[in-house]
Amino acid sequence: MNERQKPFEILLVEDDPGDILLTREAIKESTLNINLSVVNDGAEALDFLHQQGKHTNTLRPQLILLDLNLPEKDGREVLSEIKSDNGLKQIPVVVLTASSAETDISKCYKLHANAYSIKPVNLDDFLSVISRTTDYWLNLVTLPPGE
Amino acid sequence: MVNREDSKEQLILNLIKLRQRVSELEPMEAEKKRYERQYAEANAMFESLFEFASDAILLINRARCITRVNAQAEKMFGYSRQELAGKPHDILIPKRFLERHKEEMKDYMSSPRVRLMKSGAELYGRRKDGSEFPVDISLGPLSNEKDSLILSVVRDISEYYRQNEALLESEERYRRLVEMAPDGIAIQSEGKFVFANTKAANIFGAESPPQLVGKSIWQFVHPEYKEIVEKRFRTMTEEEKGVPLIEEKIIRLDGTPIVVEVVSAPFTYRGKVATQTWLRDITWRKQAEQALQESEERYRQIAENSPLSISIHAGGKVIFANSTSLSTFGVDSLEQIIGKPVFDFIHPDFRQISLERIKTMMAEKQPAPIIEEKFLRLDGTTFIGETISLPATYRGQQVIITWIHDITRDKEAEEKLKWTMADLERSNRELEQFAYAASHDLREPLRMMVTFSQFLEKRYKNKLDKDANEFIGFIVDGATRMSKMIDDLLEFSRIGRLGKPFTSTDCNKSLAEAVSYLKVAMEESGAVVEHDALPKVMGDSSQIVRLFQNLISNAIKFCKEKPRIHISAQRKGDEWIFSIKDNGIGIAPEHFGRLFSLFGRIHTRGDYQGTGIGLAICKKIVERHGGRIWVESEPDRGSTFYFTIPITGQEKI
Repeated sequence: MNERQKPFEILLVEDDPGDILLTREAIKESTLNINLSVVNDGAEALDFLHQQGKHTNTLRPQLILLDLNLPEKDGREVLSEIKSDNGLKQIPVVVLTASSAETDISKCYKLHANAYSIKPVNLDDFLSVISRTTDYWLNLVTLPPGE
Repeated sequence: MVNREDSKEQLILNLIKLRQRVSELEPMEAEKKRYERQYAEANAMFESLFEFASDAILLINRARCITRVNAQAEKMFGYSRQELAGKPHDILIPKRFLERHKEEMKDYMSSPRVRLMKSGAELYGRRKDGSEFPVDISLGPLSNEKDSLILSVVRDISEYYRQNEALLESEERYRRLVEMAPDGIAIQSEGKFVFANTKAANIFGAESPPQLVGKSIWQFVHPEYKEIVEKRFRTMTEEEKGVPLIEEKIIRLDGTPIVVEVVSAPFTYRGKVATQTWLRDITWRKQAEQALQESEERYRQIAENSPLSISIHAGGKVIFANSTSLSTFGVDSLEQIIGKPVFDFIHPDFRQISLERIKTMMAEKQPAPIIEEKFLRLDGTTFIGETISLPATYRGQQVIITWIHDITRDKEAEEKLKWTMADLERSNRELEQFAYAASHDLREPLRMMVTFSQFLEKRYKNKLDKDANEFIGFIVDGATRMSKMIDDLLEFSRIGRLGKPFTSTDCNKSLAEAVSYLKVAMEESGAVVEHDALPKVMGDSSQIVRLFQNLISNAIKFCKEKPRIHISAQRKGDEWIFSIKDNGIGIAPEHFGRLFSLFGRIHTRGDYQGTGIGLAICKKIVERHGGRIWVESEPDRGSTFYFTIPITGQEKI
């Protein structure tokens, strides 16, 4: 069991309710103690990270799962802003998207995305991507100290 | 003597007789005196004739010695008569003639007779100073009681010789002039040639003048000119006038007609009325004129039938324009162009440029390079012309020749093509974007369908009945297939959109890579893939791999027994023909057409899996490489897929 009392904070930036539900399901099955916060668009994601607007009371996430196709401000812009922000850039961002376009993949890595995963079609595969990603970032590797 | 008696009487008689005789003798005496006077007169006349004769006269005795000479002889030979008297006459003869002379004299002495002077004997006299001079000599015997003499009359013919020679020279000079004249000169008298120089003989087709002389002139007159020639002869003989130069056709000895220039004039030749004629063979000139005319006609045709407007301008004005210029400049007749200022036809924006070009051309005598200029038609409309000009001399004038190619239509076509190309590119891009967006955006809802059907199945499997499970299965299957098709469509759209530049690609390596991706399928089916040595081609190597992979994968898939696949390549002309032969189920010819189309499946899904995009991708790859793809097959007899890759650049060598 995990020795840590506080749960892992993960921020999911995603507008599709289906994917939100599936991600929640996947995390529910996880053995890790995870607190999943969800925001539905890019602007809200930045508010969340800067603890602004209606997110003044939030915790800083240790991992961000970022969809690319978002309303208002899309995922690429959010990624770009996070990675150019000295206070936020050390938070690992895993792009989780349906796009298999090479331009998207290379662009995201150029913007310093920490990983790029394509959402699989199969349920089992999808669940596996979530569980293995969270396992990797929260269990296998050592993250920078919080705050 | 006589007795006395007798004597007295006799004496008287005698006295009477004597008186009678005296009276008889008196007139005789007078006569004698008269004779003597006459003789003296004759002698004096002879003496003066002898002395003052204009010819030299010498008297020579049988011993060939000079007995007497006259004054002219002294003068002629330079000796005084005292010097000559008694001398052998050999001293007056040049030594080289002495032998001959002696013989002749001997002959003459044996039968002396009068021999008159004759020229041409080539006799020479010798002066005291040794100089020689030509002479004519008359000889005659002159005998007296003492001796038989020869009278020799010698005439100095130097002057005659000189004149004769001058005449001969002059004749020779004229003869040469006539002979060497570049024109034919001939004389006819009484309708026949009496003289011709070599040139005239040649013109009439004779090898030499003798071949012509004596022949009738009428055999050489061309029938077309008979009347004219007759009229000219009448003018010459009746009016004694020369006739002017004309061109006339004559017939040569060999029967060929030629054209000559002829001028004739009457004159008297050896006392007869004759005409002399000068001829010049102008056949070559006629031919040259003809050739020139033909050449001119040819160039005129070229100029007239040129699809380009050709015009000549001098001093800023149009002086020539071909008929194409009519349509180019929108006029009905050349009068509307000829004589007009050139700038009337050049758009104001281009007049300065034109002026510069003309100046440069005139100065450098070099053609001006091709430019595009805007021109004006008569009705004020404009057109774009491609123009080339060059300076030249035309009828002694400095001119500019200009070719104008109306490229308005070309320009329009070019513009249209540009638009069409841009349109096509845009449409292509849009299509690719559409395909990409569609496949991308379609994937999302589809993924939801698949995942949540599976979710449903997973969570409620045992809570629903058998039918419900089957239904869920259909949803999942359909959505999965659709998702696969979208993936394929995406890949298909990427071939053109995301293809890499062509590089030299070793097909042996590409095939090996393709086979490595098919390892699982090959192991499952026990397929055997063999190949001959394959060439290097210019291509997108990853697409070539994909091409082999799809074709081999198909061959494995559509096979009932253990698949055997053979790949080879053959060069034919400028391309490689690749073949992929299998022992599979084969394809009926009626399906060949559909085979390579998008999602063109020919088998039910139950039998063989796949979206039916594999061959469409193959076709698109081959076509992107500039090749063709086709199949030869029969059901149950296996199939052979062929594709070609053009040989370009270094592969050609």
